[in-house]
Amino acid sequence: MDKKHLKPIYWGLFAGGGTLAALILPALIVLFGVLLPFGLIGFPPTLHTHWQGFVSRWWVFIPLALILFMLLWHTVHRLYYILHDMHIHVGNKTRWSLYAFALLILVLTLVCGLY
Amino acid sequence: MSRKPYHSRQSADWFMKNSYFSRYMLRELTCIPIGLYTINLMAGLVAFAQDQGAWVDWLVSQRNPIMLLLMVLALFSSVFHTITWFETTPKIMKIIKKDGTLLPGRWVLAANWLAFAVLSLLIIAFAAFYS
Repeated sequence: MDKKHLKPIYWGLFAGGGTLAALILPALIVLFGVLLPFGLIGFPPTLHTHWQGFVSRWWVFIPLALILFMLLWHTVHRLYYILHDMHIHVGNKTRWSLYAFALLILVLTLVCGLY
Repeated sequence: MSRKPYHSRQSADWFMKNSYFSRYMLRELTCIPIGLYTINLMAGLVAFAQDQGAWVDWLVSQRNPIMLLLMVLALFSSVFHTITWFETTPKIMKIIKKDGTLLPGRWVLAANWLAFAVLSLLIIAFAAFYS
């Protein structure tokens, strides 16, 4: 298979993930890294009581996992190009391994979250 | 079939010699803390979908000094990522107005920051309302 045909897929996922990261990641980090763990907004178990049932439905859980997967894809894609920019000569094996790593984390998230 | 790959003669630390290139490399490197934190968020999502004990355990783990260090690094990285990502948007998205002229880049930039503000507010207000 001509790998050129796959370019729109991995660049598209990179663009989508990068855009999502730019739009929502700072808020997510402030929320899940500061506000909730340090009890600065309310009582976190209440959030769980209200939304656990909804979030654990497959048609909610999968899109949420996919959003995070796109962020991770953006990372591994960029990492590959950093290696190139730093003159660390890696080939396609490294590229596909990085993509496979992101996919593996997605599969783990889905398996652990849905079963 | 083996072809000798082209090796550039550029030095390995080329990006340290010019502040524009350093900023570029810093921007690229933001992806590492972002990626690590994303994996952490995926663990949090899994914990949330499970029982309340798992969710509380995950939240407690976020106060661990190593996780706090990652959080601070990821926060700085993600803000820098947002700034640089939005900066490039007007260069990629060329919006042509009805009169045939280009919509000024600062409007595209402003729209990005508006979307950022609205989404950030919604995410935090949502969590604050339900917890």
